[in-house]
Amino acid sequence: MPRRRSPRIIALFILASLTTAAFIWVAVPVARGVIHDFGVRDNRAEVAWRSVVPEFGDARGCARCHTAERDRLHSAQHDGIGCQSCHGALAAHEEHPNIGVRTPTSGVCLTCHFEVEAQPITLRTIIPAKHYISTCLACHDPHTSVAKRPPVVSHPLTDLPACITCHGPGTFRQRSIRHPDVTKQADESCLQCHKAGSGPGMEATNG
Amino acid sequence: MADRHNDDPQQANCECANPSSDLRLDRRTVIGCGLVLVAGVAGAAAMQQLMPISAGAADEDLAPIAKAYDAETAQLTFVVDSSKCIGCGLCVAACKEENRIPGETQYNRTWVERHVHTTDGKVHIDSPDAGIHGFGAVATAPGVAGKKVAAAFFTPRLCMQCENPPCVSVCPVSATYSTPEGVVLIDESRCIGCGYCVTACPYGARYVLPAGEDTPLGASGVADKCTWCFHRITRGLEPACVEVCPVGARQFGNAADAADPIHASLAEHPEPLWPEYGTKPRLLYLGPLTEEA
Repeated sequence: MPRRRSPRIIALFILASLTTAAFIWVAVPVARGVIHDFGVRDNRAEVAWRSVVPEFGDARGCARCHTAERDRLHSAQHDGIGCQSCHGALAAHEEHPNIGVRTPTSGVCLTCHFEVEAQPITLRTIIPAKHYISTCLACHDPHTSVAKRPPVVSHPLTDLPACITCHGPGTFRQRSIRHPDVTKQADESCLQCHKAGSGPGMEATNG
Repeated sequence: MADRHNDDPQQANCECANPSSDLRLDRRTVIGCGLVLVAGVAGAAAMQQLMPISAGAADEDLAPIAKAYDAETAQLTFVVDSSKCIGCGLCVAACKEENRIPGETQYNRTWVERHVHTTDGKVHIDSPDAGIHGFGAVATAPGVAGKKVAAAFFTPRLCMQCENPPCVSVCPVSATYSTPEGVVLIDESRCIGCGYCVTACPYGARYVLPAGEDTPLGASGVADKCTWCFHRITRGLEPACVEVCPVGARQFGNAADAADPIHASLAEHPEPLWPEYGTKPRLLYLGPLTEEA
């Protein structure tokens, strides 16, 4: 018995298929909405909360490009601190490297290294008024070690006139621009870092 | 052609949609109707792929989940070590930025407290601006001035993600609930902003945003709380506060993973805060906060 399908049957089949598809397409979301509204639990809130886009990236990913910083951090006391603690949220930078990274200022250092009541005693802090200068990053490199060694002093530090006699503005051995801009600096300020005997061979001279 | 078709009883019987035919359920009718249904379902699935209007469609694109993340087996654990906290406030600032929390100081998913125990046996707590700008050199809590300090420490606070959450029990519209992995979330499409949950939470972890202040999902006038950065942990990232903490006072991990570093913190026997409430917090504390009576 040969089976011949008329065009009318095929058209009816397609029409019925489309009607069923349209019905399911509309009915499923409506049913989900009704179920949700009548208190049956679905995962709508989980999907919504998951869809928040992160501002902070994964700090482990920074080293993919910034290999030099990663290697330097291994020898630093700041090892273990995520990049974003000081450099701020970096998810956008990770996605688009052209978006700049915040360069921390000395204020960022004081976020932690500022002496306040109730801190653990292991944290090294300063009292800014008593510390030498307020621009931390002039002397301290946060990526390598906590403080750079003060420059080598190549002469004895005792029985001398005031430091600025020779190292003041316009003198023959002027101090570097990293130092604070004051016309007069008491010797005791200088000697906070430039301690007697800190240069090579100084121990014998200064006892 | 129509005449020829009507004259053929064999073909008329095949058309299940033909009202004039006697509805005999022969094999061809059943197979034909089945084919229509299958084609309909396939068509609907294809349409939803093209135009994802229904919930559930294209979830993965909107809200990606890390491959290793399994909500059913994860044992999310948060350990806070109050002996390590330095009160810098980076966590509070990072939380506000990550979760788009309004800048006003009364809206915080996390905050830092300074506890000062004086020799008269009293505990003085201050948290200026929730600790977002760090702390002043001297404690500012009322009554602490001039007293001799016996002990002092900082401690971060956030949602405990209780196993037995009072906020869920009291919610009259079931807007807040525990996910399979144990995070307490708010369904903002249901929340009516009544504030019962704010009152019920013994840890003060919740607040209601007034009209005009939006949650990260754009709702206002609803309750909000810490989600342990649900959007981050499901992507395999750490919560933002953990990410920025410079001293490791906040540790987050999955205890179901034997290789997770959180086990080092768990080995120190962290304790829940205020277990007498029976809330069974998933967040545990190490350090001096647990010794506070």
